[in-house]
Formats: sequence, C-alpha cells, structure tokens
Amino acid sequence: MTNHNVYVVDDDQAVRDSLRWLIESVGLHVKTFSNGQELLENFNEEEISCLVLDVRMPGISGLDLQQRLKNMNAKIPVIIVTGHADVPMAIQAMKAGAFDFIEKPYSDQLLLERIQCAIEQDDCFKQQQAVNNEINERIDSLTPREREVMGLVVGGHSNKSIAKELGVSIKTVEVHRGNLMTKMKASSLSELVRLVMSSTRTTAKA
Amino acid sequence: MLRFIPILLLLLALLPFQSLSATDDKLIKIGVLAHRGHEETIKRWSLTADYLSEAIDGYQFIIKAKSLPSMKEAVENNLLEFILTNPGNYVDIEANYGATRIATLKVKQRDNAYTSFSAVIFTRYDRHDINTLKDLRDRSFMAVNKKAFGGFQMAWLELKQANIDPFEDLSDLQFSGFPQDNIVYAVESGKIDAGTVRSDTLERMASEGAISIKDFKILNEQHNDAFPLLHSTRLYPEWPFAKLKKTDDQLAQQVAVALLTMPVNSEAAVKSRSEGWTIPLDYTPVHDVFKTLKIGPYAQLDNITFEKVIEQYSHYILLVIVTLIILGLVIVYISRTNHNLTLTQTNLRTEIESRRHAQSELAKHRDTLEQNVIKRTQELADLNNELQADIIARKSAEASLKKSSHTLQTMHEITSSRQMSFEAKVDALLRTGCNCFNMEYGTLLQLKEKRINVVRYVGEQDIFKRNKWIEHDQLFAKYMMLDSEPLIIQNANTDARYNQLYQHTSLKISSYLGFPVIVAGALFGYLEYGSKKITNRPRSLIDIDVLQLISQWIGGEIQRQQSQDNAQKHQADLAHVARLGTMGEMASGLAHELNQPLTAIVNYTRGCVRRLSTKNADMPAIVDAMEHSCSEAERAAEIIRRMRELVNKEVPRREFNDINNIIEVVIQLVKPKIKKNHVTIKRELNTNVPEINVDRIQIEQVLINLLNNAIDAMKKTPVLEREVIVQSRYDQSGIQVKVFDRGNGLPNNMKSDVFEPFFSTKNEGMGMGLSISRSIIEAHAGSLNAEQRELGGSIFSFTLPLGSETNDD
Repeated sequence: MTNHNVYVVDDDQAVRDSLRWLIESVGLHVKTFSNGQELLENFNEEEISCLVLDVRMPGISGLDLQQRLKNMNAKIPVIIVTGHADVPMAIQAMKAGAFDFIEKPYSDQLLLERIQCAIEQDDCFKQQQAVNNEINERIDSLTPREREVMGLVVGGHSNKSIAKELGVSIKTVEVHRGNLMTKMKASSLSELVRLVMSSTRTTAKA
Repeated sequence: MLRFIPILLLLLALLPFQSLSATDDKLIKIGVLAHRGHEETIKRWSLTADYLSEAIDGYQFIIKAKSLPSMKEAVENNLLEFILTNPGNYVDIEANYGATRIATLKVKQRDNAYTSFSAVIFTRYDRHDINTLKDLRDRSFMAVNKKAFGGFQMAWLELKQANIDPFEDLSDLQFSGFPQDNIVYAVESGKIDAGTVRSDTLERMASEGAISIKDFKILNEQHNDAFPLLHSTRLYPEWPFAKLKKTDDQLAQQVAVALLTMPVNSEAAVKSRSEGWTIPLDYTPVHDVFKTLKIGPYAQLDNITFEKVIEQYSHYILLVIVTLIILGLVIVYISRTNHNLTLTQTNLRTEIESRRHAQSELAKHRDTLEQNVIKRTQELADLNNELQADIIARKSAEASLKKSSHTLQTMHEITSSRQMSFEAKVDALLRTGCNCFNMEYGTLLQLKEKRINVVRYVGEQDIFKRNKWIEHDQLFAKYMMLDSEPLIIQNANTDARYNQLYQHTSLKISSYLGFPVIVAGALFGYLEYGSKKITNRPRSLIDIDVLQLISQWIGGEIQRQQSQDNAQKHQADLAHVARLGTMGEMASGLAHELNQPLTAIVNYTRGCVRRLSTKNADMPAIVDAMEHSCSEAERAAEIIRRMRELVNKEVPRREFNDINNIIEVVIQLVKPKIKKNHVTIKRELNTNVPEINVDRIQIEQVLINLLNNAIDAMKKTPVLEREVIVQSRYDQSGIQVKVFDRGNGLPNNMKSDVFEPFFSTKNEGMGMGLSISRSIIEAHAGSLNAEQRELGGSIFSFTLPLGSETNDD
C-alpha cells in the first residue's frame, strides 16, 4: 500500500494542503497540483493510482481534465469532488468514467474509503493489464499458421476438420497444435480458451 | 577852432557816403533790401545813388540798406523816398503803403540781361523716384528762407498747385539761409531730397566749376525762348525801383528818366550787376502768388470771413438793425394807427347806435343765459366728478396690474429657483400671496379625514400653529366647492353666509381668500389667505389667477414629489425583492465559497485525529495542521458574515413579458442616475421581439445592475462621450439584450472574474451584482457575457432562450 500515489488537483491551497494532510495520515503518498495544466505536464501513468479532482477550477475545469485524460487513454480512477450538488454535472462525470463523485464537505471516512477502493481497482486493473500483456506477448510469439490453427481450435473444430479446412495433413495440425499450446503455456484446451477470451488482441479469423 | 573839430570829424565820417559838394542838396534816401548783408548792398548800389545824384540837380541820393522788417518800418514812418526791393516786398509795400514802381532792373546774368526771373526746383539726377512735383510728397526739401520770393515763395506756389503744402506734406522743410549755393550742395550730396533756388544759380555755380548741371534733374521744367535759363516756375519781373506815396512825382519822373537812360556799361550798372533799367513791368503775377499763398499783403485774406466781420462789427450791425426795425415798426404802427383811427371814428358812431340797441337786447337775454349757465355748470361738475372717479379707478387698476405683474415675476423666480427647497418655495409663495392680496397670513392646509393639518404657514400673527390639527368645520375652507372657483370673503362678520362661523371661532378672520389644492385629481387640501382686517378692495380677476396659479403649482409639485418618492420606493423594493429572489442562486455561489474552508477544516482535523490515534504522532506537524484548521475556520466565518444580509429564498414568478417594456421601465428607474451623471442613453430596440416567459423583477434587477455598472464605469469618461446604448435583438436562439458603455472596459484577464462573487472594481461595490445577475440569467437558461468593446468600454449582454425549459430550482 505504501507505494501508492494519490494525485490531488484543487485551486484552493487550503483544500489542497489539508487533503494532503488527511490522505497522508493513512500512509499514502500525495502529489498536489493547483490546476489541470500542471497535472498534465507532470502526469505519469505508472506512478499514479488515484486522482482526486475539484470540479470548479480556473483554466481547465475538473470535467475538462477528466475528458482530456480519457482522450489520452489514461485509465486511472478519478474521484470528482465538488461543492455543488449538481446532478447534470455528476451525470456527465460518471458518463465520462469517473470512479466516484463526492460532494463537499465530505466525511473523511468516505473519501479515504473511496480512495482505497480506487487504488484497489487500479491495482486490479494494473494486474489485469499485466496478465493481458503476458497473454498478448504469447499470442504475438505464434506464427501466422499457429494463430490460424489456434483460432479454429478455440472455435471448437476437431483436428480432422482443421486439417481439411487448411488443406494440410492431420499430422501437421497436431504439430501446430502442440507448439501453440506450449507457446501459450496452456495445459488444457479450456485454459487456452480462457486465455484467448481474456486477450484484447484479435486472433486471426478461422 | 577846437569847437569845430567834432563837426569836421563827423563830416569826414560821412565822406564816403555823401558827395562833398552836395551838402546843400536835398537828401533823398533810397531803401534797398539787403538780402545779402548791408555792406554788400551798399557796395552794389552806392554808385547808382551817385549816378542819380549826378543826374538830378539839387538832390543828394543815398542808399539805406534795409532788412525786410526794417524796410517796412522805415516806409511806415516815411523815412524813405524810394525803395529798391524784390518783387515780393514791393508788392507788399505797394499794397499796404501805396508805392509806385518807376523802373524794373535788367539783371545781368553773365552774358545776358533779364528783366524777369524765376526759380528752379531740382533734385539729384539719379533720384528716379522723383520725377514730378507730386513726387515730392513726404520728401525733404530745402529753400533759402521762408520769406524769400525767388528763393522759396515761387516754388511754394508751384508745389501748392501740385497739391503739396510744403508745411504739411513734406517730410522735412529746411531753410538754409544765404547763400543759396548751400541748397545745391545739400541736394548734390543727397542730404536733402530736393531744393529750390533762384534761376541762374545752377548755371552760375556750373560756370564757376562748383557743380555739374548734369548731376541734377529739374522738376516741372519750363521752357521759354525769352528766358533760356533753367527754371521750374513761371516768370516774375525783376526788382523794381519804386517811389513811395509821399515822394514828389516830379522827382520820381526825373529819377525814372535817369534810371532808364543809365548806360548799359556805366559803372553804376556794372557795379549793380545789371544792364541798367527798363520801363516798369507788370507785377500782377507777384500779387497773384501772394493771393494764392495768402501771404504778404494777403495774409489776412483767408481770415476775413463773414463771421469775423460779424464778430468785429456785431455791435454796430446790431444797433443799425435794431434801429431800422424800430423805425420800420414805428412807421408801420403810426400809419396803421392813423388809418384805423379814421376808420374807427366812422365805425364808432354806428357802433354806439347798435350797441345801445344790443344792450337792451342783452339785458333781455341775460336772465335766461344765467339760468342756462348755472344748469350747465352743474352738469359739468357732475361729469368732472365722474371722470375723476374714473381716473382714480383706472389708476388703481393700473397699480394693481403693475403689482400683479411684479407678483407673477416674483412667483416665477421662486418656482424656477434651483437652490430653494420645496418648503422654502411654498413659504415664499405664501408670502408673495400675502403681499399681493394684502393679507395677514397665508397657509397651506392638508385635509386628512375631516381634519386639517397646517403644512406650511406664513404670517405675522400666530393665528395658526404649524403642524397643529384643526377641525375642518372650524374653517371657512369647508364652504369651498371642489370646482376651480376660489372662496372669497370680503367681510365675514357682515356676510350672512359666514357670519355664524365668524362669531363661533376665536380666529375672527374677516377677509378670506381660499383655493383647493388638487393633487393627482384628488383634493389634497387648501391654499388660503386671511386677515382680521376687512379689505375694501374688491378681488380682481388677476388676484384669482395668481391664487389659482400658486395653488396649481403647489399641487403639481406635491404630485411630482409623490411620484418621485414612489419611483424611489419602487426601486428600493425592486432591489430588495431581487435580493431575496436571487438568494438561491447566490447561495450556490456562496456555498462553494464556504465549502472550501469547511472541507479544509475537516481534512485537517480528521488528519490530526488519525495521526493522534496511531500514537506515533509528529506533534509539531499536528500543531501546524491545527493552526491551518483554525485559520480556515476564520475564513469561513468571514464568508458567513458577508452572507448575513441574505435572508430567505423566494419562489420566482414567471410571466410572459415584453423585454422592450422591461428595458423602458428600467431606463425610467435609472433616469435620476443617468441625469446626475450626464449620460446620454440610446435605445436600439427591435420592436418585433416576442414576449418571453421570465421573472420580470429579476430581469429588471439584472438590467438595473448592468445600467448602473455602465454608468459607474464612465465616471472618468469625458461628459460628451458618456453614452449608454441598450440594444434588444431577436433570432431563433432567443432574445439578446446588450448594454454598451464607453467606460474603462474590462480589466485585463479578468473577463471571467467579473462574474465571481465579491469581485468588484468599485470601491463601494459589494461585488455581488454581476454574480447575482449571472445566477439570474442562468436560472433563466440564458447566459450573461462580458466583452471588451473595440471603441473602448465594454459590452455586457445576456441571452434568454425562447420557449426553453426553465430551471426553477
């Protein structure tokens, strides 16, 4: 938990500093920014675990900043904090993929809890990301023919029908199948199917 | 023998002048004008005298050198027998003392002899600017002597005929004195622009080698074959030899003969630089010169006027005239009297007869006439009385007219005064009325539910006390009708209608003048004047007019004040209502403000609690955090203090309104401020704007706010440029209202800040106006924007969408 960084963006210094004080009390690292531009200039997706954002800010508003991060494909959990119980704004924030929308003044318990949740989600996401990357790497290591065969295997075709489909001998299909199972580090057909399903890569069509 | 020595010496002394043998001869004195000094004169002419002494037996001629004045004196005192002088002097003596010329000198000028002479007027050859006599105007000029005939007066005549008065029109006129050569030198050297000398002077000087004729230019040059010398003037005869009045004619004849027969080459002639003498010439031209110049014998000519004669001889003339008139009158009188007397005598006789007859007739008529006269006199006396009464009436009418005109003027001055307050004006009008109507007091009464309040009172006696309530029934005012007729009471005591009230009250007002004061069509009260004295003067129409005018002015003024008060009250109400109405919108802005410190406080304290509960707290850090927490609490308290004025939220009421009407109403509301700040307001309204569903009071508040801001922004703008434009526009998206000003414009980088709560560029501003306005407009689903104006100044505009959903929450 100690390695997690929480970014705080708020134009009000008192709020910024007090948030740092509060969040640091649970052993998290905090980086504060006075406006969106400052954050964008110092943004490091690897480092950040959670972003706490005030809505009403001069320059880039909280919602604008959220949108820009989304456009940058940065997938960090964003907790929007606002002094206005503004329903349309909350809807817009949630639609844009905010992790949560908290109204000021908030209970510290709630905020810290949501931050913890966000960090967990982020950890989870990052782990998932790592797994995906691993699977993708495995898929990338396959030859085109092996990928073709894997697509058909996952699609439920028997070796015989695959051989017929590809116009090769059953023996050849069996060799490809053995290779790809090794490369994909799959011990069974069901595991292979799970790996392929969780992969973001599109496999070659059968 | 010794006794004879002085006589001998005297004789010896006389020797050079008198012939020794001529001691017995009669001494004849010839006065010669010594224009070049006595010695020179004696030297020149003594031989001529000797010649004459020799030629005429029994006479001894001697020369007496005389200057012009001494010549005159000698002639006057008969000290001389003959004179030899210049033509000018001769003419003078001829005219005044009766001299007669007997010969004219033939002057030898080098090779020729001339019996006439002239003068030459000249300038330097290279003076191209001087070509005629007329060119001498404003030039310097030199002559020999003012009285020199040839040396000045001849030239003077010519100048005068060229319209130049040498004493007036020349820049400088100098007289050099003899010799005339000086003048020639002065002109030659350029010291003097021009000069005049006697004819032959130039030629003589040239022949002596002193000058060259070529160096000079002769002005007005004359040509005469008989007189080949250079000359500029007409010719005049040379010096005459003349006998004086008392000189014996015989002797004169002898002298003339002797002179005319003087040989050309005789010693006397040579010495006198002449070729002898010729018959006397005509000196009329000389006379003419003097006449024209009004000098010499004609010096008085210009002075002899009719007035002078009258003045000098007035006594005699008057005496003669008077005598003549008296004589004439006496003659006429006597002749007429004489004639009348004879006529009367005959008439009287018949008259006496007829008189006698008439007398008897008259006696007869006298009695009847006397009767008629008495009757007529009576009639006239009556008429006279009537006329006098009429005159008095007219005079009083005139006086009252004058008084009313004065009163009206005073009223105008009072009502148009800028310094006086309304109350002071009313008092002044009451006082003016008192003077005009001759009343003791004047008062403005207000009627309130059958009771009377004395609003203003002016008067000497304490009849009313100000702000004292009086029962309506106790006043004459109760008799007043509500039409525009005044109530006029001349004498309440004797008037049956008012007698009862007069007796009943303690005021004892005899004379009364009242008029209702109407404000906005309703009876406000009364304007009344009264007096304990009875007024004899009937109330004139003018009095009633004045009374009515005062009453109407007061009524109008009260109405104006009331409407002004109402307008002000409306504005205050509006501001208040708007303040309440916009509470919600403001609250959201303020909530954000307040949330910030509250959030910080919670964060700090929670952070502290968490750290303290772990028991490994860093105490200095915690103290620091608590400090921060406290200051945030103070910040929150400050915001709450600002919020204190906000009371409770009112539900907005929306109705369909014409935006142009709202604009017009707001302009009227802001008008006092517009006028006070000398701002011109310009409307650019689109009359086709549809009605829009808005909270009228709120939109009015926004507009008031924008107009106030626009006016305030132009405090430093030159008065002539202070213009606010209010524009309304309409398109599919909705209605747009723009307010343009010519003020300072928006502060740099503060375009968005102006809408923030508590932002203000005005010292007295709360900084809430635009923030509230934006909240109002946003609540109407519109937007409020600020722009910098290219010309300078700013544009604040708001949009109100048509038929859009409204955010009533």
